[in-house]
Amino acid sequence: MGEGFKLPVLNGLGKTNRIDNWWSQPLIMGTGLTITLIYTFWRLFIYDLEISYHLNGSTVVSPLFSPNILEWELFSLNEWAKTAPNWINAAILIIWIPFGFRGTCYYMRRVYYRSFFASPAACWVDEPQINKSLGYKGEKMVFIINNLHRYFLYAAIIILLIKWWDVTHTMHFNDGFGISIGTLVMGIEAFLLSMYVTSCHALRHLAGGVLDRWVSGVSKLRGKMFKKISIINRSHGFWFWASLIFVFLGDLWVLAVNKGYLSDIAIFVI
Amino acid sequence: MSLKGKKQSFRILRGDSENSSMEDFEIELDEGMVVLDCVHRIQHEQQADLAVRWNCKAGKCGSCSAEINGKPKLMCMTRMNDVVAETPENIPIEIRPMKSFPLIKDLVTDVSWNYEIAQKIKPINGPDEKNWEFNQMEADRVQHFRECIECFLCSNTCHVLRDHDLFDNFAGPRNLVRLAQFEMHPLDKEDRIPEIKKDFGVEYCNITRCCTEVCPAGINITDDAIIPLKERVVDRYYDPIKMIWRKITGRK
Ligand code: SF4
Ligand code: SF4
Ligand code: FES
Ligand code: FES
Repeated sequence: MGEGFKLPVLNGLGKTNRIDNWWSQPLIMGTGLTITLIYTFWRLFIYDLEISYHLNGSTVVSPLFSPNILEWELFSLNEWAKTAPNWINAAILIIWIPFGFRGTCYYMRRVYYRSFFASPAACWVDEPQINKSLGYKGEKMVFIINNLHRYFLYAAIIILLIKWWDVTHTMHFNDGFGISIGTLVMGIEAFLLSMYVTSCHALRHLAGGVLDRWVSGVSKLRGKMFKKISIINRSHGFWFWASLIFVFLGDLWVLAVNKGYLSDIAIFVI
Repeated sequence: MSLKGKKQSFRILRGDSENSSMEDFEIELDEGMVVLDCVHRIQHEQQADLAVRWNCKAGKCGSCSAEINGKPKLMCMTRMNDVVAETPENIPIEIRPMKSFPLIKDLVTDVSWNYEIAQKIKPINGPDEKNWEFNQMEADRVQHFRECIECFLCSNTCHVLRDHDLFDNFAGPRNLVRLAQFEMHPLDKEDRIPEIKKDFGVEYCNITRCCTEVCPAGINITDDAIIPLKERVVDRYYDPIKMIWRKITGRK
């Protein structure tokens, strides 16, 4: 099917008739992701000190290491932490959740297929020969794991709730309740992550998209949720990057305070 | 920038399946022209046998699809102001027919493959009594898909077809839109999920969104049609809890 003489598509990586800077977007996004990967690796495995600080009784944890489950009394995790090998840190234990969640995210998939697999690097730009000789299979083979995105979503929702709870820890001062710069940093991070999670395609489907009819009662409510999620779903990519970047800004902030380059203050206490 | 009187060079593909090559033309532009006007002017002044398909000149019939400077677009909706602005001064504006479909002549391609696939899609199968009623919210979701003008720019763009030639395994974005439109119809009783996975090959799409970028009707093909279909395929074939639940309750 679709047979007959066709104009040849220019063969080879990056071959195209386009005359604009098609390579800039995959390049920028690919570089961004690579930097976040390297930074995360450094922070998790090489330099996992200074992950939180205290300000007058409140605790601010770096977003990369929140929730810091090794400080929990639940299941005596804090006791276990003392005996655990010392390369273990909170982030290493839970990183698979944000990693799995982002890694199977429909938006992220677009970014890495384009930037890392050049499949395609940009629209109407030819793919490297190897993509063709390997035989294109789409989202089958190893990429079949992407179908489990919704399970990572469930786990991410739990993490998100704990993150909000961690935000409240930044607000208990010795002399009352208040807000510090650390509260803002963690609060913004939690907010951006909430937007990223609630604009998720799988959530949109599970909330209401799965139904064909939204007639009355619960199904109508689910239809309304579908409509609301659809609105923010349009900017899912924006929330992806905003929340990702803020994790690292937050971590840098915590590092800088620990090192004494910057200092946190309570903005007000009541 | 006024285009009136500007001399503009073009390089257009001429030929048919036997042999084809790029040919150069030059015309004088007028204010407010679109690319299709220029092709018509070349046809009128220099090449009466230049083949180009068009009907409405209003972005509604979907017949004038072509690749302008390497980007698939409707010729009648592409303003010369924009094209001249993106083309460096000393090089001609290039116009080619769509590359993923067989060439008939010059700028005209044979898009019948799309219709052949469309015929394999089961039609809507609703209740027998004809006084169908559903609410606006339900209507909106599927209505959006009916804005498709069948220009096939999306399927021409899709790398699954364009680069990997999987015409036998993948229905292409246009027909996935049609499948979504039927599958999400509030009264339709047909089950198309097995075909959507196997015959129409939704899993070949890797959601890189080029079809959405190119759609002149503004349909959010990837987000509103393909991803929801993929999620429905997950419900049926990959979600362990749903699969167990179906075993227990015996429901589909
Ligand atoms: S999103 Fe899917 S259907 Fe659309 S162009 Fe990309 S691979 Fe093709
Ligand atoms: S979905 Fe959009 S791009 Fe594809 S055929 Fe329809 S109008 Fe054209
Ligand atoms: S689709 Fe991006 S988080 Fe679910
Ligand atoms: S001529 Fe009808 S869409 Fe261009």
